[in-house]
Amino acid sequence: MAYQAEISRSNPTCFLFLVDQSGSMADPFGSSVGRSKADELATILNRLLASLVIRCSKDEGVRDYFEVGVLGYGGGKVAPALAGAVANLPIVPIGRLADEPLRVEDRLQKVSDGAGGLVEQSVKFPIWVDPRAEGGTPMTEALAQGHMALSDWVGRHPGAFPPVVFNITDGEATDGDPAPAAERLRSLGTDDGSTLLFNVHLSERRAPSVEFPATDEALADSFARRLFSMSSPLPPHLQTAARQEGYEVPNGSRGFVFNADAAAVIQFLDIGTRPANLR
Amino acid sequence: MLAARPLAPCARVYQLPRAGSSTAEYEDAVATSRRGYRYAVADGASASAFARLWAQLLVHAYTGGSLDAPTLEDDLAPAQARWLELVGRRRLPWYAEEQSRRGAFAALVGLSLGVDQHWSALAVGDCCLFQIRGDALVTAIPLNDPSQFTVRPLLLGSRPAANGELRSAGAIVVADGTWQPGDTFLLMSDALAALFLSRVRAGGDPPLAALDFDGTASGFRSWTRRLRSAGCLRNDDVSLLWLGIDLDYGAVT
Repeated sequence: MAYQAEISRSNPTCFLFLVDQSGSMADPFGSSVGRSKADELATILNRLLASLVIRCSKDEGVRDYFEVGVLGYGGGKVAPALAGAVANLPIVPIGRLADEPLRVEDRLQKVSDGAGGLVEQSVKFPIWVDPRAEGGTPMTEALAQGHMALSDWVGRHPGAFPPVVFNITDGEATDGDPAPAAERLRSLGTDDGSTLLFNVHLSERRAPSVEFPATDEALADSFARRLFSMSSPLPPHLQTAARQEGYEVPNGSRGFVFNADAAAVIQFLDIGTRPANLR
Repeated sequence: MLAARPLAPCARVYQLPRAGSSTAEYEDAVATSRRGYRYAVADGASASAFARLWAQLLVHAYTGGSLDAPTLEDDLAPAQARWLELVGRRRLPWYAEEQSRRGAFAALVGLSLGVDQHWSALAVGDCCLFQIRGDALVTAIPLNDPSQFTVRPLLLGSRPAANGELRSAGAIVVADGTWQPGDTFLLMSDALAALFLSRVRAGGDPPLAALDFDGTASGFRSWTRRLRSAGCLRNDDVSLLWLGIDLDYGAVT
């Protein structure tokens, strides 16, 4: 059965992030005031990367269960988006990423007090990528370059859990229809299944967020519907995991979210026991 | 002078880290208190850090007689304080600091035997206790069917706030009963417990035939590795505490 390969240090999986850094990302995000889509993208991406690191973090350090790449597209080009010692590397082990944030901020977060209430607590929030918005949106080229990076990776990891790609964008590609490139990317696979493509759509529309829909009926515009059609169906194994996480996931759900965080996807992957009371 | 043979259960412990992990990365813990007739197995959750330390603190708190089900959340306080003290001694990178803020988590099962031939047990999470008498599995707690094992159990947290919902969710399980000479008690972490229950529920052989290794530590390790390779046993840390009650218990010698 597909999507069952054990994820371990000797058999890691790969996360590739394609992030829209085009000029349109400077527009406002949803109903928020003074917050752009680029701001929201940076928050989502940094939170996803931090979730990956923490998922692999143990007493002695970070175990390399994952390898990670980040490609930015905007300003007419596609290029690796990480800075510091991991800049210009297409894919790096998660342990190296953990030690190379640009900076670590302290942010306040509401957490359970264990008695039914919430308290504010300071949490560490590492930043790897800052907001950026410039020029056109070469999404098709980004998907093609993602295909190139992952072709090499799946060749070296034939028995791995298939790569997971997050494309975080407002959906307004300026270099043609990205759907064929997305299909080629999804067709890449390991012995355990095809690459999973998740699209995270950020919009200036004040529409309710949507997570893992099975149809495009509730989606607000043509950009959302196109990104939905490019997204991988959730395999049954991940559907089950998503339901255990409390998501209402109908059969036929796709890896698409609209104006929502996607960090939960990481919890759908099984790398061991995760307590139900760990928030 | 004639005397009744005292209670002296034979406790054997079998342990093996998950394939690909070292002994230092083993996150289960087992403890026994022969004088107090208390036995415990804990399984630190792999998604949390410092879980090995937490599992060790839990089994020793149980076998030391410090944990009672009615006051469990309060009884955990000394172990939680010790965990925080030991973790806080180190200067931690941001990700370990974040893991420390969230706390460590572990499943626990503990068994107390009384010389009056009663037993009592406490379980939180998916470490299991089984009592076998002859060819019958007479007790299985907190889970009694392989389908009940998930990767999202409620577990004991090293941070008090994590345990606020355990009781209302029914996650603190207690049980008691009687034992007889010749009974066997098995305490297991989840991967082995799930395999044991699936074999027992499949029927046919007596329950102890499900653990068909030669009784030695090396035999257990070979047996476990074979089951993992065959895909019958999930690749996880494995612990088994095998407790046999002497058939001659109470006999006048």
